[in-house]
Amino acid sequence: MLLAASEEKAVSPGDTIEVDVDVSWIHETQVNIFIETFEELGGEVWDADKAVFMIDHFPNPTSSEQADQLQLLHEYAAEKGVEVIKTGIKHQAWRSLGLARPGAIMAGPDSHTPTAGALGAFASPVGPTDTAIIWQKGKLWLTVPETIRFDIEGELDPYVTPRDIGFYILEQHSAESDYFAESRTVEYAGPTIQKMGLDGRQTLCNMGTEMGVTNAYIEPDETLRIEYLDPKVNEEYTIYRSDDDADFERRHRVDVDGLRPKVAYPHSPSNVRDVKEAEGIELDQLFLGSCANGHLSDLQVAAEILEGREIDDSVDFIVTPATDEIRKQASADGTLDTFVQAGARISSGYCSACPGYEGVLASGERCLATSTRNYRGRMGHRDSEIYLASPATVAASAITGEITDPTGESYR
Amino acid sequence: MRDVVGAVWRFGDDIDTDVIVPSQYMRYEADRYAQHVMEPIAPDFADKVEQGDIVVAGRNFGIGSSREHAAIGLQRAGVGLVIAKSFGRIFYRNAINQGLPALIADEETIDDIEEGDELAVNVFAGTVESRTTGEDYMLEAPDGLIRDILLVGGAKRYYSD
Repeated sequence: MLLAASEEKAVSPGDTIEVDVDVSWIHETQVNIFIETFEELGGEVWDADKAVFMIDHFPNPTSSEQADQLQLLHEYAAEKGVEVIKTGIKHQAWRSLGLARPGAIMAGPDSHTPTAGALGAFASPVGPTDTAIIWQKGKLWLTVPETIRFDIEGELDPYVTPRDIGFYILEQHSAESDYFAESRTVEYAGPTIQKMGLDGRQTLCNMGTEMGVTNAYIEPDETLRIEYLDPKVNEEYTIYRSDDDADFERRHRVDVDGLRPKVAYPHSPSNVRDVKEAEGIELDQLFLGSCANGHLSDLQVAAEILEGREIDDSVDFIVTPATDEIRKQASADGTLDTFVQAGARISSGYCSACPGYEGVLASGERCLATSTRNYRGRMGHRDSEIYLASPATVAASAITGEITDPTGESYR
Repeated sequence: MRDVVGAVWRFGDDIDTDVIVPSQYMRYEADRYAQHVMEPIAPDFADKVEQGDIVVAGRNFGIGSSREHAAIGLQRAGVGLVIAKSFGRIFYRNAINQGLPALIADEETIDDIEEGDELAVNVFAGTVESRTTGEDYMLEAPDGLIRDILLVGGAKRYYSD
């Protein structure tokens, strides 16, 4: 894939090459610093069809500084003739808009960029200077990564989800390093992946970021073609397959039969334990959303658990569908109604509570979230605590007000 | 060829960008946040580091958030070269883009070099001479595109017309 995007004749892991970028973006928090660097380089967009401004961190500004930032973004985009997209979190918006495609090189300043590897793209986060160079020249230098492959087999029990598989992988490798796949490609394959829907695949690729990856990848298959490529993608694309004799740096078999729900304790996504150990930890807030778990099937599994039940009086529960499209689908099928009737608050189409844009935690407060990360202070006060879990675990825990095993009976 | 000659500052594994430039200083101009680099684990560092000094660290130097401040701050503080067992990917990109050489060395080399050693490094040959112990070491010399970017002093210059 990288070979095709470069002018090289052959590439191997460790080679540093230059590739042509197909999609790049800037979002509203980065506008000022980007403009400065980009204008220094010349300020001429290499291809206005390949660059976009994304509004997904504070589409509904809550301060005049944020409102000013959005205004600046709109004015600058108009000046440069570049489209502004405000339809939800970019990693899910690529899918609703058909912008990610097999073989495409996608690069920009957002750490969860690897999510689009589930749609067959080479998608990698880069720094601000990199992005300014991409927008000026359309080029990115990169070192071809080694690949770590996970062959996943077995069947998940009800209310054990793809997020739990990701936690399990982080748990297995956390003794090596919090970023055991630093600068690598993580590829997911095997029968469990073949049966998994695109939402779960995106969750797993998204979690590559917490493993330290350059990019994550799932080979395009019939599921991708039927659910995504045929209905959504208009541009041409090329599907690249791992060579049969591909040299993986490491290859791990993961058996998910009998896997139990997992919880990541503060303050690292790799600090993973079984939900059984965490049961009974009292909560102040719950959050269902983010680019890791704001998909339709994430909302649906949570709503199934909440159907006909109410959340505990002592907790707040924020639910944020990742995009406008997902919000509409979840409205049409009654999912959102279940949340509203259960006592949750619904917001929409942005990062929401994950990096603390709403539901900010005070000192000593505790949140169970489907967020990407639980670094110290990410959702508010330094001395607040963030636990991470799957949508099913968050829903069951919202009912009881404490961390609860969704596969158990205690909340029913 | 470019030589870096300076004293060694030793750091361990997994030094993240929150340590290199703590987030409370990110809102300041580069010359100001450069006065606080490495502060959480080496409060004297920014004060005492001299032009051309060398940071030598363990694995995963610069992991964590992608803030470009980390590479810029070290460079503005005077650091002429960073040597580590491995780097956080985005820190490495940011360093090369800023024209700050970041070179990989093997475990034995890193473990052998001590705080305060004076090293003379030929960045593009990857050769190191310790003027303190007389030992010689080899680093992974930058090649190809990375070498070209470092030679002109960073990616902005490399990609300017």
